[in-house]
Amino acid sequence: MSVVHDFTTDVLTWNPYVEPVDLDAATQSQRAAMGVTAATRSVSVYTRVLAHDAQTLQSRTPLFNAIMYGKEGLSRGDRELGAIGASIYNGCVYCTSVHARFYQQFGAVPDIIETIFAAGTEAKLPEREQAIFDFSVKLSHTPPSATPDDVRRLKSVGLSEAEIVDLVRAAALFGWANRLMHTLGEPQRG
Amino acid sequence: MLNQTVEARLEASCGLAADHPVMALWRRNDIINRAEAGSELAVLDPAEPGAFPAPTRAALAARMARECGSDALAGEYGSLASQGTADDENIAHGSPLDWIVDTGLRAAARHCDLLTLNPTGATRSDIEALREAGFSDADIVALSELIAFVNYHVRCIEGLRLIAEAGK
Repeated sequence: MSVVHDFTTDVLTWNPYVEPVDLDAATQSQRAAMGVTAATRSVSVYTRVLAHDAQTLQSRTPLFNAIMYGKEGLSRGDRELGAIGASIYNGCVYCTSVHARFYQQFGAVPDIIETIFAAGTEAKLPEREQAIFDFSVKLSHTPPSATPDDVRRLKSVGLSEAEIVDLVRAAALFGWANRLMHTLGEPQRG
Repeated sequence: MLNQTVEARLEASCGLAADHPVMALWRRNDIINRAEAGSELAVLDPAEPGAFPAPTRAALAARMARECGSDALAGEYGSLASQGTADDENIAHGSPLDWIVDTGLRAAARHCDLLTLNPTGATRSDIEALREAGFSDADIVALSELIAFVNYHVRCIEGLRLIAEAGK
C-alpha cells in the first residue's frame, strides 16, 4: 500500500488515522446513524469513523444525499463540478477521485477532468464550466473570495438563481467533506 | 442553549429578511432544511458533548467564523459562548493560541485554525497531537465535524449574500 498525493480517477482506498467504530460493538444510535439493518454485511471505513459522532452523522447523511443527488435543480454533473472545484482547492485527493469519476459519468463535457488535473485551480475550461469551477474554487478560499460578479457570470452562462443556490450548497458541502476525509485519514493505492 | 433557531441565525448572518426571494429559493427543500438544522444542533449542542461542552463548541465556532471573514456569524456564535470560561472567551475572540491556558483546549483551537485556514496542510501528525493532548477518537471526530460544519455554514451564508447582492 502506498499513499497517493497526486489527483487521479483511480479507485483508491482510505486509511483512517483514528480507529473506526466496530460494527459488533456499535451502540444503537451509532448503528442507526450508519444505516445498519439486519441485512447489512459491511459499512465503509469512512462511515464507521464518522459513527464516533452518531448524532452528526444522522443529519449529515440525508443532507449530503439531498445536496448531491437530489432530483430537482442544478444538474448532477454541475454539482459534481462544484464538488471538484472545492476538493482540488482543498487538496483532498480521495474526494477528488470519487467525484471526478462521477463527473465523467454524469457531466456534459469530455476531457474536463484531465484539464483540471493538469492545471489545478488555474485550469482553462469552456465558458460555462469555467464559471462554475471558478465560483466553487473562490467560495472555498478562507475567507471566501467569490464576488457578486462571479454570480452574474453564472447567470450569463445560463444558471438560474435556484441553480446557483444548489451550486453554493454543493461547493460548500465539500468545504465540509474535504475537512473530514483529507484530515482524518489518507488515500492509498494497492 | 440554542436560544434562537438556525433560521434566525442564518438570516442575521447574511443580512437577508426571512421573506427575501433568495431565502425562499434557499429553503425550497425540506429535507435539506431539517438536516441543516439537525447538523448545527449536533455539532453545537449535542446530547453527548464529550470533551467539548456547548459554550466551548460555540467559542470554537465563533473563532472559525471570524477566520472565514463572517463577523456576523462570529457574533451569533460568540453570544452562545458567553456562559463559558476565560479560555472560551479567548477562543471566541480569536486570541493567540498561547493565551489559552488549558493545554487540551489550546490543541483543539490550533486544530480549528489549521483546518479552517489551511486544510490541505493537515497530516497524521495533527491527529496524533490531539491524541497526545488527551482526546479520544470520538472527541477527535466530534471536533472535526464541528470544524467541517462551520466551514460549510459560512460558505452557505456568503453564497446567499452574493446571490442577493448580484440580484440588486
